[in-house]
This record gives sequence, structure tokens and C-alpha cells, in this order.
Amino acid sequence: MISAFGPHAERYASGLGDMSAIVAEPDFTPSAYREAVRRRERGEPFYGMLLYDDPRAALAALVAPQILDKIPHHDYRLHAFRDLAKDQLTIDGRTSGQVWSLPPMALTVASDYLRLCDAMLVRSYAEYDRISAAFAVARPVERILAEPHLPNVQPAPQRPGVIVWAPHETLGTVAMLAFGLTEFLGDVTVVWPGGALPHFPAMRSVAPDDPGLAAVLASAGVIVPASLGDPGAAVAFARRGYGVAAPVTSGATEFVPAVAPFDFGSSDSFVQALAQAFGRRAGTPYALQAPPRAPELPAYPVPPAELPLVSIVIPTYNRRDELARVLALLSRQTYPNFEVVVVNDAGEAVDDVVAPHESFARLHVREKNGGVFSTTMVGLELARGAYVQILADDDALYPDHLQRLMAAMLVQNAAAAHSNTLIRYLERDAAGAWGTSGFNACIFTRTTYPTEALISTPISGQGLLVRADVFAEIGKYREDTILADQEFQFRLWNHYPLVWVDHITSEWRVRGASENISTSVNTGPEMERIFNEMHPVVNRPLIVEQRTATLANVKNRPAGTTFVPTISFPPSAS
Amino acid sequence: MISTFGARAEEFGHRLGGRDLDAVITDFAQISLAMVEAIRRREQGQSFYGMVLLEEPRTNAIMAAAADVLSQVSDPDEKRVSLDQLTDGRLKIGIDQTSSALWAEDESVGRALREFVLLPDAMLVRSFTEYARLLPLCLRPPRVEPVVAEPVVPEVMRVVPSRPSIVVWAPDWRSRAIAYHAYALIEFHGDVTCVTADGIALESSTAKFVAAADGAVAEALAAATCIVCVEPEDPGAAIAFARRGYGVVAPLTSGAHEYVRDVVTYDFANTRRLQIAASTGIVQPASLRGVPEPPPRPYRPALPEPAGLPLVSVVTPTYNRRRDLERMLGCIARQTYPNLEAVVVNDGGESVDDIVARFPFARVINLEQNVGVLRAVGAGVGAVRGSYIQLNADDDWLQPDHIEALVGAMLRSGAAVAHGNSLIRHQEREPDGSFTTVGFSAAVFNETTTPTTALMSTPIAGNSMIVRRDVIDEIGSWREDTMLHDQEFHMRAAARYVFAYVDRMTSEFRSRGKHQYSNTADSVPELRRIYDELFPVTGRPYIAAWRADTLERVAARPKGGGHVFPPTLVLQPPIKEPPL
Repeated sequence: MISAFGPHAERYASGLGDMSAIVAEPDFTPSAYREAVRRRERGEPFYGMLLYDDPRAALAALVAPQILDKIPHHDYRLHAFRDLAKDQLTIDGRTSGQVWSLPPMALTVASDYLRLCDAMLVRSYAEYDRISAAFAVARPVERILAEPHLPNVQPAPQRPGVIVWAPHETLGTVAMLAFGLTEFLGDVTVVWPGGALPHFPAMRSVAPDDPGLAAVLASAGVIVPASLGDPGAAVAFARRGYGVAAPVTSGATEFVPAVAPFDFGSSDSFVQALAQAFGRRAGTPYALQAPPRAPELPAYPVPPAELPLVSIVIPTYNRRDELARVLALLSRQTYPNFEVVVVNDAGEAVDDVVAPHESFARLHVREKNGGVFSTTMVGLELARGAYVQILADDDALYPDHLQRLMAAMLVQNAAAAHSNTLIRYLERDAAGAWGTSGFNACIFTRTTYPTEALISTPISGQGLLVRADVFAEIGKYREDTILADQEFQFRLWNHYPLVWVDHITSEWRVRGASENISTSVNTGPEMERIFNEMHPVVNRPLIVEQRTATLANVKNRPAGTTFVPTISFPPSAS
Repeated sequence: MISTFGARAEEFGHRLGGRDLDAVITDFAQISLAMVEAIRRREQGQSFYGMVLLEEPRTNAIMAAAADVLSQVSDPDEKRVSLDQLTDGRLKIGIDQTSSALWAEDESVGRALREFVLLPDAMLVRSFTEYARLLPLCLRPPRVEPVVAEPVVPEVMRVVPSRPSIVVWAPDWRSRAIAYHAYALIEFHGDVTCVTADGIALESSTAKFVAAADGAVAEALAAATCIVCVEPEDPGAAIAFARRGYGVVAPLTSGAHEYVRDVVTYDFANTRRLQIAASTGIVQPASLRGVPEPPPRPYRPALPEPAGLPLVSVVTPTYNRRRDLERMLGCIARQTYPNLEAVVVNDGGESVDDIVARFPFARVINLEQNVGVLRAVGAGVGAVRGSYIQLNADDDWLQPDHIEALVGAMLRSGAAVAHGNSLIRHQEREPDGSFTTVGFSAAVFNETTTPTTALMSTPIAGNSMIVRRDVIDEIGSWREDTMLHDQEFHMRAAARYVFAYVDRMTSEFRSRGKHQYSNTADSVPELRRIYDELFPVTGRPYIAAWRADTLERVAARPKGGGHVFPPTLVLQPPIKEPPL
């Protein structure tokens, strides 16, 4: 299933067929982000797609009508467009090269969105290069092509003619190309829905749904697909025997052997390409291998019957509803061989909460309340699995969590592995119920290396799966520190190789500013104790320096502001 | 056939093996030699690919500097900090330079590359990532086909490893050159084996080093689950190992992600990037999505059926240059276009009847007295039988595909005028009267024009154009009263007709220094006359300014017989004129 956000995305998606994907325009990434979270929760592998046009070309399209508005004389326009091509046009006191920038908010939301997907879909590798440069996110990638539906026509020109194919383009894009065609002495037709072109009233404009469209198409030999980022139309027209001149940013050169590519921001470059396209057909498009319908989950390197038992230990105390939710989510794990050990830290009874899941979950009740750390230890003692995962009673594992981590660990019998964790922010709504108010997908979506792990790790507790024999070798979690996760990882990563599954498969829930112990307590003194008493370093002056800086950092930050959401909204029930 | 220039190109060509591919592949350092070969192929009218194995400057600079940087500090944490400063450009090197200077843009790269790219029909690239790097260096985006060449990697029986093991695959690099990689992986809790050309261990690394030729390579590969590829621009090794199901880690700049599913890419933002890539690569087997198979030669559209092809007339005035004329008619004889005639106008010089008689498609008009080249052209144009006309000087040259390409473009588009690009061949006269080639320039006559640009000057050589005869009927023939008759004609034609442009070097313009009229005559007064008397403009102040600029530029050209356009590629030593 495809979810599309934004009018262009919706139209583009309608040509993709059956894919498991989210398609978004940059302006609509907040909605795409939330849909991506929903799909992660369901454990569905999906592609994330960001229709991202080249910023320089997009700027040219934005500026073109202004140039045409302000400058009536053709030669002066020519001059202005040349400056634009050289990034030297002055716009509001800045040169055109300096004008373009995405607002920082849009940048972080878009890169978080991409981190949530299993793989990216791109319209061309040119687009992939643009996205990885702009958002510094390198996801696995597949290329897809969607050709538009066209009338069944062939070029049969009587005289030189060119058609600008712009059924969905903005006035700016069309104006930029139209200016490049003002000195073209053959027939020019623009296919777009906006009627006559404001700056070029004499240029013929035909609506995409005009009944005479087929005849218009047949009368020209060259098509200029106006899209800055979609090679689909270029490919479709090449297939029908046309000459094609297309913006190089569309990536059309990746699909068609003899398309004439041009730099959209330079009308001189367009003129050169256009004149070439006249004399040569663009050639038969290459045969392409379509991407799989959905990104594939990793296969296990051993037969399913040999998959080892994994134990998930959940300490709980007076959070019946949350526990019920966590267990319901766990029932959807795709990994076939796991058990859940719930340890009730002498809180209100949860027997009825666990009972519906007795096929995989069992309950142990402590007689006296002992705190979360010792309760976790009790659970670890009871665990029978060869692999162990610890999970708080209000967090979440997505259905593919165990499959992804175990498939990775079994490849070479790794002792520990981790994946990424999404932070979900919860606030009370007006009625006092908890609702989701934001997300952050960039903090726990990294891995670390041993030296960095001596300072702090970007790995969340529930993102981690360890082989049970690890405890015998490096010791268990400590019961005497609120930073038990982090302290354990100091030891773990300085002993075993890091194995990282770069997918978001778990969730950490942050409740308000005041109700989460780890975000409200001052952890400075505890961290200092870990640094100085438990894990002192010798002969590593730089590490000492960085530890000092980290402590100063923790000390100076106000309580409750540990991690801020990249996207926030009014609390809504999940 | 594949021609290679330079060691890397040779190796790449070798990896392409017996593939049927017409290509000129070169290291950047050998690009001049490659250009000569490309020109030779153009003269034969071949459709062929060009390929420049361009180094990604930043990665290569980092790899080259890393070993020295590591040796300058002793503390292991400081070593890491120094490497990270090196990669982010802040490391001090020398007195007032930082490491970003190591990969500063080298303008000479652009100059040589721009010219080379103009000769082949299309460029080969190892990935579209490489194409993106090539684009800013070109005059305009070239046509492109991706190609990959896999190296041979040892076939081994893989064993389940007892502990995590990585192989850094760098058989073509000395150990020193991968000091960055070895150091970045120093904290990996498992086996790291670096396969390098020399196998020399590095002091800064705890990894095991093995020479590529050593038997221990097979052992390391058998136990490894993850291969770290180091080639900054070549995805070949990543593909070869993905084919065998290894986890593959490769530089983002190599474009491996275009061919390999689940490859883990790393950039050189800091050493951390490679470390963390390895922690995914060891557990994520890669697989092959597919590898491109470019057609043996770049696609060219075919001509329509032979029966319908119009007659093309080539008009050539000549005066006492028998040897040149014979060569020129030779190039017409080699045209692939089947229906043409040559009209030679002997402008009252020594007889050429015997030469013309050897070419059945040619006939001669003997003028009784010398009337000058401009009127001789007029006489020739008046005598043509064809419906398409091409002018060609007696010492110029058309590539074998010239007429086919231009007429094909006109027939397909309905355009009445077509032109291609023209290569300038710079020649000097030897004492014995023969000419040697001393250089080339590809970027001068290498664009089409617009009506406005044509009001100043056109970047189109006289012999790179074909016009339909009805154009002459409509706007008149070449003027006989101006030495700039080509340019004057282009101005009239551009104001009225669409030019179909074949972006290929299909003709050659020979520049003979002081032995050439157009190099020695002062064309400024003539150009001024064209501007002011023949094509005055009103209400276009910009044009007037541009024209003044153009006149100034022309006036500043070297006088007295230098080459108006100096060669971009200077040949050392010069090439003798090949035999007829």
C-alpha cells in the first residue's frame, strides 16, 4: 500500500502500482513522519520516498517569473538569466547562489522521516545523491520508474516543432523553459493546464486534457519534459521515438541512451540541448529491474527449527495498562521462538493482564518491592533463553525487532547487537489521558565505538539484545546505579564487537517533563562515579578531557530537557 | 576495440576482458594521449565511448596523507583526533594552510577534461555518482552509459568464523595508503586483515597485513564475513564480493549502492563513519541488484531507407593546392552517406583535372582566371545539382559520418539547416612544404547559436554546416564581397531557420598560422561593416554593447599570423601529416 502526502506525491504514487511505500513532498514530511511511525509499529517493511528536486533548479523556477515581471526587454532578460545561471543574480541583496536553503526544521524532520524507513525509493541516483548530500542520511536505496500514461502517438513533424510537456508543473518552471524557447524559430507548444502563458501570450498552450492533444504531440519531433526530478515522461516519449531534451537533474540520462540533458538553471544550456534533440531520437530506454514490492526482511542463516529461544524480561510496577499494551505488541513479533518473563515488583496484581498471553508470557511476583534494578535481576535469573532482552513496561518493540537482531547475530554468532530506537513523547491531554505529542528519530539511531562508549553511548537499553553467556563473562547489570544501561554498555562494547542493525525497531516513551526518572533526575554525580570509580582510564588524557566536558554539560542542562523532539504536535491518543 | 592510457586505465580495460566495446579509457594524467586517439577515431567516423578514470580528490588526498598524520602524534586518542581534523579540513599542514587545501579544486583538471569529453559520442562512467562528479567539469552535460569491471577475487570455501572477521580489500594499494582505514578499525573486537599490494605491516595498526599475492589471502577471505572495499571511485570489488554473499562496506563515492543491495556505505566525514559501517557490514550479507551492460558502441540513430535519400553537393573552391585537394576528396570518398556529389571549382590555378577524375562522384569547373575564393564559391553553388549544399575548403576535412549525421538530423527534424562541431587542427609548414600537426582545440567551434547570439558572432565553423538548397533560394547565397562570408551567412540563416545541432565533432578546421588568410587579415573593419551596415540593430542597447566587446576582442587577437585560437592540446612531438 502506498500513502502519499502532497498533491504531487499523490499523483506520482498513483503511477507506482502496488508498493509498500510512503511518498512525500518536502512540505508534507511531518505527516509522512507520523505515517512512517505507524508502519514501524505494525512492523511492515516499507520504502520511504522524498520527492526532492534539485535546489538550484527549483530556485531558478522560483525566480524566473520575477525576472520576467520586472524586466520587459528581451536582451536584459537574457542578461539576467545568464547571471542566474552563474549564481550571480542579485535577489534582495544576496546572490542567487546564497538564497536557497531549507529551513532547519524541515531538514531534521525530513531526515528523521528517512531514518524511519527500511529503504529509500528514488526516481534516479541523481536524486539519491541530492538527498544524501542535503540530509546526511544514507539509507539502503532502490530506484523506481513511473511512466505517465500518454496517448498512443508517434512523431510525424512537417516542420521543426517542440513541445514542453508540463502537465503538472508550476508557472515558474514553464516560464523558465518558455524563455529559453523565445528565440526558437520552429513551432512551440506548451502542454500545461494554466492556459496562455502570462509572459509569452503568443506561445501556444494546450491543456493536458485537450481532445486535440494527440494531434499536437504528433506534430512535433522533440519533447521537453519539464519535470526537475521525474524522468518518467522523458522515458515514455523516448519509447515512442521522440527526440528528448530534459533537465539533467531529472536523471533521464540514467534511463535513456541519447536524451539531450541540460542544466535547467541555464537557458543557454537548454538552447544547446534543444538543438541537439532535433536531430536525434532519444533511443530505446534501458530495460530496468523493478524493485521488490517491499523491502525484504533479513533471512535467518539457520533453519527456523534451529532458532534459539530469546527471553524478554519486563519488570513492572503499577502500570497495568501500559503492560497490557507492551504485551499486545509483543504478541506480534515475527520471530518464532521467544518467551516473556514479567516480574511484578510487588505492585497491584497483573495476572489477568499476562494471562491472555500465556502462550509466550509467564509471571513472577515479588513479595516485597525492590526497585526496578533488582526486579530486572530477578527476571534475568528466571530467563531460560540463550539470548536476553530487557524491556521497560511502558516501552515497545516493533514486530520485526527480534527477527532483525537475531538474523544479524546468527550470521556470526555475535554476543550482542543493537538496533535503533524511536523516542515517543507523551503529554496529558485536556482530559488527563496520555497522548503522543512528538517524536525524535535521530538520537538513538546511531551506533558507537569502544572509545566513545567510555564517555557515553547513543544506544538505548531496549535496542539491545545480548547472548546470555555474556553475563558470565563480563558480569550482570549493576543494581546500584540509575545509569545501569550505560554502565553495562561500557563493559560490553569494550569487550565484544559492535553489531548494529540500522533500522528503528523499538520505542522509548518519554512521559511529560516531570514523570520520567531518567529525564528528571540529576545524573551528574552518578556519571562521575561511573567515570572515576568504576571505569577509570589511565594514560588517555583526551578521554579524561572529554569526560570532564560531558559532566559539565550534564550539570549545566536544566532538568527535563535531555532530548527534545524533532517534531511535535498537540497530544493525540495513539 | 578498447584503447587504454595509463596504468589504472590499462588495469580497468583488462578487467573488462573480451567485452565488445569501442572505448578510449584513460587515467587523467594521460588524457593528452587519449585525446589524440579520440581524434584518430573521430577521423574514422567511429562511434565510441570516452572514459576518464577521475580520482575523487578529497578521498584520495585523505588516503595519501593519513599515514604521515598518524606518524606525527603518539597518543592513540590524539591520532584519531588528528585524522578527524584531516578529514574535516581543519588540520594544520605547513605554515598557513589547512588540510582542505589538499583537495582544493585544480583548474587544470577541468580544462583538459572539458576538451576530451567533446570528442566521444558518449562517456562511460563507473556509476552515476561518478557522473555527478564529472558534470561540473564539463561545458554541458555529456551523454553517459554506466559500466563496471569486476576484479578477479579468489574463490574460497567460506567457513563459519569463530570470531568476527573483516578483510580490508586493497590489493592495488600500498599498506601506507590505507592507513586511514586500518586506524579507523583499530577498536574492532575481532580479526582485521588488510590485503594490500605490499603486505607491509603498519606501526599505527594492530591489523594483520597480507600481500595480495600471498596464500594467506584465501585463508582470510574464507573466515571473513565482511569485506571493506577502499577504492574511492570503483564499485567493482564491492560487486564481486556481493556476488559471493559477503557483507560489503564501500565508500559512498564509489557508487556501489547503485548495483549492490544492502551494501553499507561510508564517507570520510570522520573515522567513526567507517567503524560504524563495519559494525553493520559484518552481519548484513549484500546481494547483487544487477550490473549494467552498455551496448558495444554509443547509440546513433539510423538513416531512413537509402532510396529516399536526397543528393548532397559538396562545393570546394581550390587554387594551387593539389595535394590538399586530393586529401580533401579522399575524405568525401569515405563518407558513409550514399548519395553525394563534389563540385570542385578551380580558381584559375594549375590543373586538377587528373585528381578529380580519380573520384567518380566529383566534377570540376575550371575558371579561366583567378577570381578569388568568394566568387569561386558562388560559381560552385550555382552549379550544384543536389538539394543540400555543403561548403568545404580544399584544405579542410570532414569526418566520414559528417554528412550522414547532419542530413539524418535534418530529415528527422524537418530543419533546413544543420551543423555539427568542428575540431581545430593547428598545423605548421615544414621546409619541404608538407604540414605537421602541432596541436588541437576542441572547445571553440562547439556550440549552436540563437538569433540573438548570431548578431554578435557564431561559434560555428564554415565547413560544419549543411543547408537545404531552398534556403539559398529564399535568403540568398554566400556574399561574394566579404571575407567573413561564413559568419554573415550564419547571421541571415539564424534569423530565419531552426538549426538542428549534431553535438559531435564531425568536421575539422585546419589552422595554418601565417599560411592562412583568415589568421593574417585584419577582420575588424569587415566585422564593423557587417554590424553597422549589413545588420544594424535598433532598440537593443545590449546588442550594441556586446558588439563593441566583440570588436575589442577581435582587435586584441595576435596579429601577423599567429593562430587566432591557440591550441588547447599541444603535441610534443608534432605529428606528420598521415599519408593519403
